Amino acid sequence: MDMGVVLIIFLRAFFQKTKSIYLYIFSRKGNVNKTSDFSSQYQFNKQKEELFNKIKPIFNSEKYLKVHVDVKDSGMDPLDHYIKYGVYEHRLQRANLLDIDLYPDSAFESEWDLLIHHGDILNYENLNIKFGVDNKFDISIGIVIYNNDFHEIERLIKSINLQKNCNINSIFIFDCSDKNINFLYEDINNIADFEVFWYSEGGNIGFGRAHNFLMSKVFAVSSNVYLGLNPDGFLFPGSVSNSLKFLLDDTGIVDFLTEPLSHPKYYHPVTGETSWSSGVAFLIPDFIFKITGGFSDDIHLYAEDVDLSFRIRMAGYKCRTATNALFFHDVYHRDYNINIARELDMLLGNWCFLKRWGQIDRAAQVEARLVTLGESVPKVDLKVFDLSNYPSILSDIERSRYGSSRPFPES
Amino acid sequence: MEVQDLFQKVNANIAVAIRIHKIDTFSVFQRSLSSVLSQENVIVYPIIISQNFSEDQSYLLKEFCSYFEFLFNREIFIINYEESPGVDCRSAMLNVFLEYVRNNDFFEYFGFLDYDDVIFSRSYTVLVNSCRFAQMEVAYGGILREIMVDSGDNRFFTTRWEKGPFSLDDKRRSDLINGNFLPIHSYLVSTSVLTSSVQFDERLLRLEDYDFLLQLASFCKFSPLARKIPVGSYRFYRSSSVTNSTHHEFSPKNLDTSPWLDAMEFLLEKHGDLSLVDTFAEVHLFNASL
Repeated sequence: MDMGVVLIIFLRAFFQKTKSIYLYIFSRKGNVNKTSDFSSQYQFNKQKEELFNKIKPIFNSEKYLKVHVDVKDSGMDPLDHYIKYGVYEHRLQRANLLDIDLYPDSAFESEWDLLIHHGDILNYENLNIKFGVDNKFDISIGIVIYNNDFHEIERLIKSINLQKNCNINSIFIFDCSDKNINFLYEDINNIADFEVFWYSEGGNIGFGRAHNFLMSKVFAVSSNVYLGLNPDGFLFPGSVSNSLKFLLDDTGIVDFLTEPLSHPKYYHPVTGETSWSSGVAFLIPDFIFKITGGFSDDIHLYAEDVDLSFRIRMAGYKCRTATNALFFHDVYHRDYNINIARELDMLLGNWCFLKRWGQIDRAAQVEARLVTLGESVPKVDLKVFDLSNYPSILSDIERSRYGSSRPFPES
Repeated sequence: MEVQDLFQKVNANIAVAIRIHKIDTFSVFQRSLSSVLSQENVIVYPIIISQNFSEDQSYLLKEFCSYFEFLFNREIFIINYEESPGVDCRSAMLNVFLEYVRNNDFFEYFGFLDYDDVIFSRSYTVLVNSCRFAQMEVAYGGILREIMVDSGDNRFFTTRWEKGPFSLDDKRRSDLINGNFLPIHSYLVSTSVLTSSVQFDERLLRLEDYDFLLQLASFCKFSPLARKIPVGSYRFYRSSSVTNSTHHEFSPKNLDTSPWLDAMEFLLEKHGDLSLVDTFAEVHLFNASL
């Protein structure tokens, strides 16, 4: 055998070996991957351990087994079951054992996240929020009335008279009534402790337009905050001064909590931050009116408050709910005898809103409903917003209540 | 008759008792009181019964109520029930109210509301219409459950609403003996049934409202016309000093349930032979869609 052949054999054997080595390395690489898996597994177990420590004090085995009969039948330890399987199956929420209600429904995708944050949300110290000081605000109040009863407005005015620790200048009322009201403007003026200014155009010009008119009047004088109030409600003691604390420098609109049932939209329990603010009782500072122009003229009634809120957010300001400012406004039973005129108004308002915010499919559904009621949509050239740079607003608009919400029993 | 008919205007004078046990619960109490005063169409006279309030506390309560008296042009009647400190007089407090109603022919109906619950603005209209349409002495409606959280500074957040937990579906009157599904603010009673024997049992320190309801159920007709209409909200408060009953998931883990069990035993003995009409048979007299 000559050396050449020997060399070839050697080299082949070498490469064969090398191949094996490569294969070995490759397979080790696989093992390295497995080591990485192991690392994940380690992390995973650590996470489970953290979860275990977090859940142990609040876990109620008896209730868990009572609800999850399959776990009981399996004979597994309920806490073991939860750590291994239940957390993926949302078993605590299903058993009503986890306080998920303080969180927006859009915030978390799994019970893991909920548990990691459990208990954090009401920790005031971590929030670094400095509530505002109310004495820097000069407020004027705007009320839009529509065929209201004297006693309703009387009650509201009296509740304004009783507000303390806030600087209320005047009351501005726009009368949108389209039939004769059963009182004289003077009757109301006599009740109010403040100067009252009345306006009317002899008919219903719409909620938003009327408030815009009043805001332009209010901000033309000395006031720097507008408080819009529905005429068929009243303020609780201290509501106005409480609401002003939420009017921070970064805030464009603040709404009040309504009683006896507050709107089911989500608000942060401490900061009050929310996806949109309601037009039932709301504060708007003067600079926001200048930036936004107030409510949209395109929307006659309904959803104009949501529309304004989103424009305020686009301008970089926040919407808040004043979580300790109560305004009585009960509409819970209203749907039992809702009339066709109101339904049409609601549908039209919603249609305009949906079109403006690019929700074409939903707008088409509303339009179909309008057609079945014998109504057509108006031929108007609606401004449509580009939300490509506002993913959080787009995400809220796509939700059924235009933001995170809470369970609410429909009447 | 349609459901909407229950919302039609009606004239009636109604007395409503609100018990208040502690002075530091105004933030909750104001919601309850305003919900009573805001009833549409009917005229409601809230009668507040406090327990062992000192002179200063009574003054504070009066001052607080004056806000709502002024708004509603209505006098709010306050009775302070005095008893030895530490004595639970919850039944006696309500008997004082019943006595007051008995002595005033002016009232046509009476009802109750706990200081931490609410009713909706048109509920008494619905319940009075329900009594009158059915020509029955008691009318009841549904109750929502509302979960509230106290942030610790007297701010209460509603976090969730649910239908129930007092479901009226498939309930028979005889089911009342197995458990109370009609909370104290879910029904309204005609004063015509208020004989001297109709009383809260002062021996009971728990479930006195349940006992009262069983008494009514033994001889009154209950109109079911509003059974599918929620008339109020039963508020459950978690992480707060506001207490709720024992049989729900938010009760404190170490709550001593024995007073409730004792009361239940007492009730079973007292009403065990109660001859309740076997169903709310009146349901079938009316349109099933109601």
